[in-house]
Amino acid sequence: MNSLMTVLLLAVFVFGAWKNVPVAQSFMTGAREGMDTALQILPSLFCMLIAVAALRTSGILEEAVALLSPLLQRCGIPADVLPLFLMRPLSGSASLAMAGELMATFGPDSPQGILGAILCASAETLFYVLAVYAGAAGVRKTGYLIPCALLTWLMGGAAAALVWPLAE
Amino acid sequence: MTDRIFLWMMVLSLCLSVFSGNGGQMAADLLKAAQQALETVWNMAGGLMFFSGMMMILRDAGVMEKWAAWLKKPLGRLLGKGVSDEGMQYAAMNLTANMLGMGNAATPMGIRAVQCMAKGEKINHAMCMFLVINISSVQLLPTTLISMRAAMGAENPAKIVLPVLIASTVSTVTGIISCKVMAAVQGRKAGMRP
Repeated sequence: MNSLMTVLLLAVFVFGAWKNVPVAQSFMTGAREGMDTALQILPSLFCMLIAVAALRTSGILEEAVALLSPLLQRCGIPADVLPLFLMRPLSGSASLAMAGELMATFGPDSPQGILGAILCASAETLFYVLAVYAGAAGVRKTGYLIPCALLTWLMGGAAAALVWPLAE
Repeated sequence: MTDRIFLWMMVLSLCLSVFSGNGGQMAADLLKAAQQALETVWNMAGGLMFFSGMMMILRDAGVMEKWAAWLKKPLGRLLGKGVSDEGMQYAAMNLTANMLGMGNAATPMGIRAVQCMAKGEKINHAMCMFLVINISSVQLLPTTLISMRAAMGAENPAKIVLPVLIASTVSTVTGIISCKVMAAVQGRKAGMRP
């Protein structure tokens, strides 16, 4: 899949040259804009990452897991994936690491390993996306976006909990 | 809203850690997180610059315009009127890159798209719809997780494709419907007010 990316990059250069685009000039203009964007989103991303770190250290996730686990078990859903599900909207790298841990502990073809992989692959890091885009657009009032986003996360998780046996 | 979320996340976490007796840990962790956060942003900046550069070549070659013209009808119906042609082009490129699983390449285009859509400090319907689609994940092939499963020795690493597709379709459709419903509700409220 990474080689697809390389082929696409090559295609961009070849096509650009064919269309007589001043390739280096365009690339530099874009890079300059990218730098401005990075500076623009830095504060909001910084703020969000701090809040996520605070949330993780506080132990609130563990409390939520302890509270919800019995409920999930009664529904026949492997409760070991709950920490991963709760972490997914907060941190991409942490949730990926948790998916790896589940696969290592229970095996990649165990219910836990499969459901963990599906949960990771079927949702984005909600708060990260939000911080990047809201920061870049200078939006402070997000209206109904966050409730809607949280709903997509819950519904995606529920769907994953129903259909994971397809990958067994 | 972002102000309130940040406030609540911080207050809740700090309270909990004080009451559970790991207040000392929290302060140290926060400072460490601040350093790591800067590192994350710094690492991201390189990718942003690279893909913004590539995007500019595509734009100057006229690829973006062509592609957006293809997607104009379905995308226009989703995002509604009032999005400039430029915003539409970037949105089309962002969603395409996301579907192909090129999150890194998609980010700079998505940023330009929301910058084109933004009108002041308050979010509008087009932005909401665009972001909720981005947040709900539209990737068609979960390459990272498939290769992770392969590395872990799964029997058939790609077997998660179908359930992943179902789950992300459910979440994306939920996002689109809930956004439309909220917009309609707010529109009605605004209409009732004299």
